[in-house]
Amino acid sequence: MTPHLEEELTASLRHRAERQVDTSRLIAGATARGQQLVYRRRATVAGLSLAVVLLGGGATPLAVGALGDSGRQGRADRVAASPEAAPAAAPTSDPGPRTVPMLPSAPLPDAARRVVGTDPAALHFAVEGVDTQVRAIQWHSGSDLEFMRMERLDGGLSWVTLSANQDVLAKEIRIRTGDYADAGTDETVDVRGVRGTLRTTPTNEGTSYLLSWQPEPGLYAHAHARAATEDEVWWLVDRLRLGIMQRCVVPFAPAKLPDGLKLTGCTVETSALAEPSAPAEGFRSAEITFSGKVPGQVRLAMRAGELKGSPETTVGGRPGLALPRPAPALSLYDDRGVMLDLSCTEGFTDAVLYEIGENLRVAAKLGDLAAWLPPVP
Amino acid sequence: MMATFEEYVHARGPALVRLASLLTGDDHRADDLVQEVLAKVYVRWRRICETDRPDLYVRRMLVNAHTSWWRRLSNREIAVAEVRERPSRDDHAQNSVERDEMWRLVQTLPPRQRAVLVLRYYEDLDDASIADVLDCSPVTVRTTAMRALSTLRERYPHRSRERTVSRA
Repeated sequence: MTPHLEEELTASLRHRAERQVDTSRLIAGATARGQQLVYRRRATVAGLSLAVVLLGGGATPLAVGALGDSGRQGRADRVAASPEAAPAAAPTSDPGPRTVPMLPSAPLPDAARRVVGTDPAALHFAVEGVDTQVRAIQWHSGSDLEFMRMERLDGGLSWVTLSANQDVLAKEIRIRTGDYADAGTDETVDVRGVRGTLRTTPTNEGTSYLLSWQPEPGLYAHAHARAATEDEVWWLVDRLRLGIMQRCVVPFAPAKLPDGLKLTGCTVETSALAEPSAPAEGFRSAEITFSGKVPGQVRLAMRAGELKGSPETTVGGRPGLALPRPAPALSLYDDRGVMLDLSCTEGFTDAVLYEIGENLRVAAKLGDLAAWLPPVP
Repeated sequence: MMATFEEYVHARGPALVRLASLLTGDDHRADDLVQEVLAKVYVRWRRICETDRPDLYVRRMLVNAHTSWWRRLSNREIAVAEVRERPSRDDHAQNSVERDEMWRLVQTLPPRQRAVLVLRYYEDLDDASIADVLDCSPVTVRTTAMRALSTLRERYPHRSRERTVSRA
């Protein structure tokens, strides 16, 4: 390795590691989680002791029965699968009632199905019953495609991507699957009555299953899961619903847009778990992007955090910092314990950020999606 | 005198979060990972304090937690999805673009290789200390580092050539 490259590696790592850390929040979060661990261990020990007392030798047959009910079955019938086929068993490995906050949804007229990817303020599909079967969901709409990424209860990731543009979808898949895009074994399968391709790729992080098909003429879909079996992918297919529109709502939005700006993307991530580093319980992150009269984009996002040091500016009544970057950026503090980050690529001036910042609204309840706002006025 | 858990986190928490940011490539995940590890540290604090080097022990927990998390979730998908080219107009912007590109390449490395580079070039640890953190031999550290650097060298040189040409 050349010294030049070595220096650049060190500089890159140091630059990337620059960030403020709130130690008080860190201590509080770690202590709370640590106490939960202690309580959970005590409860487990107590529960096991009780079970032994109550069940005695009968515990073994009961446990075997429970495993049999939740065991996964192979997908030997996939060639004969039809729209009427019964949904596959829910792939759960972590019991307990958990619900992920969901975007508001409404029935979608058939005529509107072809607009997938063209309206960044909406998704034109849903995965039925997913809110109780995963621990976190990320939705995205924009740039001609829509996707939903799910963190499963077993810790793995699954996602569904839809687009009316086959090239856009192919590029997205290449980005998401990285080195594995062209590897693996392809198998022709029947997906709810239409022909599809299931690509199976063993990787050092588990087996990757990528299913490609056309759920409707002119609409392309990919379902992907890195999992122990392909059941995870078929579970998604069985629950994919195209007749539903989900509105993309966010906990912050400009009340008025600068002249020439238009929404290009909306990304929201919610979680069933209380996460100390999240802005609010149930809400993990949100981001909206805009394009304008010049190439590039304007980005607006929210994160948990507090203003460090003295504010350099006040925008829309919120104190903040103007960050020294090649392209302008503003970081504003909202008194609910969150930072609003506004940034843009080169070509835009900071005036556009100040104008958005002056007109920025924040939802009354950060963790309540019913109180969230549409991304554009 | 034994330090309290709070004193330890006050002193070492920010460094652990920055290390986790480099390991995960995602600040949100980093915060969550450190919380997860510190929660386990909280439960075992007395025993950890009795070890010779508690910080080494905690860093090892952090790297292992990241490796197992990476295996489960494969954050490679997230990292690559964030790639975007940025235009540059001057040296400052050029440096920023190069840092971004280097960082993007680092993120594509397997977790073990990335951990070795982060510990060597950010934490400035020698191979023996890295071996302690990763619970392996110094030879393994050197081999892993060599593979990681070789990958970077294969993928990175074009940026250096571009800069040479543009300055000529």
